[in-house]
Amino acid sequence: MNLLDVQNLRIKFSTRRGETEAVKGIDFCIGENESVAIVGESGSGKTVTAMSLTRLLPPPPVCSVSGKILFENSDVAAMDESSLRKIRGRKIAYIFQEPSTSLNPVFTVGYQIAEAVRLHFPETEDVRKVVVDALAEVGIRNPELRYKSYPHELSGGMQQRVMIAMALACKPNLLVADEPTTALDVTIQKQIIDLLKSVRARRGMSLLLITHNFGIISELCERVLVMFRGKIVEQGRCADVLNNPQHPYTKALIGCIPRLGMTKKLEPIDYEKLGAI
Amino acid sequence: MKSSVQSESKRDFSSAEELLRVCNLTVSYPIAGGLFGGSKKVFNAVDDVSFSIRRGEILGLVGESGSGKTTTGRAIIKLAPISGGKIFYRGENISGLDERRFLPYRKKIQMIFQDPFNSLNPRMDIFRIISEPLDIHFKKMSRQKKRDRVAELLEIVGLKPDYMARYPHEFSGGQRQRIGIARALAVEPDFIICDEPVSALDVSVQAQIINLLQNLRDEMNLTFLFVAHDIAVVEYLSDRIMVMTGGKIVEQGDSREVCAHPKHPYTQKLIAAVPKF
Repeated sequence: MNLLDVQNLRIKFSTRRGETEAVKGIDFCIGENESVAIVGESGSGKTVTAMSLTRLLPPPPVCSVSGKILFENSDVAAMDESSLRKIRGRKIAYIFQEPSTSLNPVFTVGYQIAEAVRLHFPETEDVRKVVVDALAEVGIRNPELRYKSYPHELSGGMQQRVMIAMALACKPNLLVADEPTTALDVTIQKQIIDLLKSVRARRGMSLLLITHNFGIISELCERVLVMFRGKIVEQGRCADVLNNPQHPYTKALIGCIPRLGMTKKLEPIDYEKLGAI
Repeated sequence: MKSSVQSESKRDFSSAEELLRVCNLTVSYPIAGGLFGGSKKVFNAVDDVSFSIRRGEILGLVGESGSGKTTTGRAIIKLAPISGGKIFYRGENISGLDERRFLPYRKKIQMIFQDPFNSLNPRMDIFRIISEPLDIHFKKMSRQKKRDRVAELLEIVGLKPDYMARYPHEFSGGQRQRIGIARALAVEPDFIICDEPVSALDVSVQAQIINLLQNLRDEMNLTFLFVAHDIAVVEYLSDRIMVMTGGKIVEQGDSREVCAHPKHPYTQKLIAAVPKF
């Protein structure tokens, strides 16, 4: 059985200029303990897909979602709010791109993590210990001391670790990471990638990674979905898709990214040629 | 064996004219003390940096946030205060010049900025944005001549001449970066400092801008200082690379050589951190 099974997902936005379909009927699944990436350029629909999994998108008429989002066999798309709250943040947790805007500047990081723990596990006796353990798990030194830090006292990499600690504190089955390292320096990015790897190895958690960086995908994920204009144009095992892409868009996307030691000329994507797809 | 290595390495500029020489450049900011606080403490953002660039060359400057790479670029055109060292442009010392005597060098040396959304004035149309440097450096140019020049510049950067009546918000990020490049080219500079010109762009647009910069170098024999954090992009575009950390240049050399066989521990760490695929 798959942990997540998305069937014929469509996401439409109503704007003043009429309706636009951001996601045009996609199907994918994520198994227990599996790590899947969605890759695509901005506007391909990858972030809204991730947000729709726990209905984080604005309600109708602004945005309408259709299709099935089966999480542990129950449909998130048709669920009432109270059942949804048991999944959102608890079973499906998120980390976003910009940690500094995701954290509340007026509360200590410990307080913010504790808030999540209290909400989802009200019976917890020693919340503080759970939080300190979570901070320690993501490699923050002196977690006792850092509990009392405000977000501005931490570097970007540390803030992202706090976000991960917050997401992990509720022991989710699926972690959705939307461009978790884009705002970070490359050496810090490596630390965060290694952290996510070790957490997965220890806990056996599923991961949905949203990114445009193929390097991170091959480090972290088993399978990859390539999105283009609201559709999944190719999916498969990472090594297969990266080394032997089948779809013209995937080929074009890989061909326009500079890699170390590259001697070929970069070729920007020719959208007109891809137009018919 | 030797010949294959030769063909992979970049162009050799050792016989070209030395355009810019930076000697022991230091930029420091006060961090504590002064006035009533006792003795002044300073932080050296750029610490005793020396390098030179030859005509037609693309010199890459790579480093993480806070390494001083941006400040180095800005100090060359007096956008950051120099506290020590000298800068020579074609043999002339330009570091001590007052604003009036520095003006001719502002024409020779232009800059392209990172964020195409913040570096264009939203209240000016594209004609005014691109022709503004002409108002300063070519005071006697007629309006018709300016229009012709702007039209020509737009074509050079791959935009339609009739875009000059439009405003920045009507353009995408990649198009705005092209406008920023056209503005830099308006006064026929010899030397362009690019500060992270592609890091805010989608991968395909990034490839377009990289190729555009490369073509400009080839066709106009321009010289570039290319400041960026993405070492793969810097390696691809630059002939030589300098690696900066903590305000110091720790390694410089042929870009292929530095990336394939990094010598300094920091460069090794930086390259090892890049996720590969």
